[in-house]
Amino acid sequence: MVQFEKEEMEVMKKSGQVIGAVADSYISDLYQLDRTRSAEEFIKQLKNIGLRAISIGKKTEESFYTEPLANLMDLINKYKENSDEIKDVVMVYATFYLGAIRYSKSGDSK
Amino acid sequence: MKEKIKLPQYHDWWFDNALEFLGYLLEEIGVEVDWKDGIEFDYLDKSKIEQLVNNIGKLIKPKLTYHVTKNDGTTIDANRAYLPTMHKGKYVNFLGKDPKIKLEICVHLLSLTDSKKRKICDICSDYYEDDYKTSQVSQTIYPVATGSLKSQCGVRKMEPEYHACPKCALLGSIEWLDDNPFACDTENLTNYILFPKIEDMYELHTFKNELREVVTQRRNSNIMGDSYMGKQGVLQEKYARDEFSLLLLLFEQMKTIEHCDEWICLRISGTSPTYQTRNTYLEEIRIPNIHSLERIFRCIEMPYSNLVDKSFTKSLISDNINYNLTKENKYLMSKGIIMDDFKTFAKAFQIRQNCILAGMQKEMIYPLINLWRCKDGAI
Repeated sequence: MVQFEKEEMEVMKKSGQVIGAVADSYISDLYQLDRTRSAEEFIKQLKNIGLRAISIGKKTEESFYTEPLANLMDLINKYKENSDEIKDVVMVYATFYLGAIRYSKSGDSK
Repeated sequence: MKEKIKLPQYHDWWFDNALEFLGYLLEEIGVEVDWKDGIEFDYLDKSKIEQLVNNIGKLIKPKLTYHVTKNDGTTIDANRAYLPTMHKGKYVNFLGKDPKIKLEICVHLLSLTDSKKRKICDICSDYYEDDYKTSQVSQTIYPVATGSLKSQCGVRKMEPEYHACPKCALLGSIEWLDDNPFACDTENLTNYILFPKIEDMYELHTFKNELREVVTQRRNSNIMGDSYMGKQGVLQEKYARDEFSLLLLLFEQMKTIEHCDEWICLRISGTSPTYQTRNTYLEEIRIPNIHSLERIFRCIEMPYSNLVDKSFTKSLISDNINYNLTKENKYLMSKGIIMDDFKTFAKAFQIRQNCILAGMQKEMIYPLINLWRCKDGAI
């Protein structure tokens, strides 16, 4: 099991938050990210999510800072052999963040 | 010099635990027990043996039954039907014997008199004489023993019946009264019992004494979590529904966890009270990195109660809670934490059946991930 640096953990956490926020509007992007089987596919889907984040930012008042996704792509290239482990950590953060958004929304409506 | 009785260790998860339990019962009545490759104690007089049999008899009701409140408000004692201790409503083997015969068996076993013994015990290979009709090995004596039906034994030409000496029968029967952590998943009719696997008898005894301080016998488990007020104003208690959650909840309540990293999980499924044969499965839980688990417990307060148990899985479409997935995700998270397997833990976060895991606090999940995956474990 790869042990990451503190800064690398921070990159994964921030990327997870961006992915989670995008998935709140486009859940299929999260499904597709989960379905990736190689580092290349993972990076490709991250690029799609980055573009989606920018387009959401243009449509709504909410703006997204996509730099963590670019840093995450560098991180995947660094740990190409263990990109699966990065995916696991990012998916945990992203799903947790999405769950927090959805749960707080349903809590507000009640 | 007083003569001593020595019961050697079996090197088997079930009988070693049973032997430890007998030693514990003897210590309870003031007998000094020497724990070395088994148990060794002084020859017992009849009053001590009587006391021992009485104590065993007193444990049968609280350990093998539970209270049920009927619709009219009356309380009855229901049998734990999933345990293979009964047949057609009656206790079997040693547990079902009359107190007088129980006493006779114990006097016979715990004395040094040597009678004519002809048969060989299939379990301990000692010679014995079946004077008390307790020799047939059933699941009461050894829970994973095959039944007496050839069709259930797998290989039809094999000898389907095994025979045990009264000592093994006694030990096997009383182990059901021991304080091993258990949990019942009533929806799936599956029950889990955990047994510590420690080779050294003294270490096993010390560990089980720590365990005995933690257990509280309740209907569906003896390791209880927090209680909460239910919908009808009745105080409800939380308990684990699978083996890994049970282990995590147990570790949470124990002072130290590093003494036992090997466990045996006995899974019993099916609760039909009319059949004696139950479906029993054995699984070994070998915790790969107990020190990293201990570090998690040191840094994160009650990871089961505060993190795993608080989670729920809800539908992204209807907002309803999916109880089956909630249970499965709790299992995956607990298994991941215990087996130091982040992949299994992360699986719980996968969106499945349009349902998402929620209900956890970032104050719990962020430190846990950092502790697990960060180089210096910084929080």
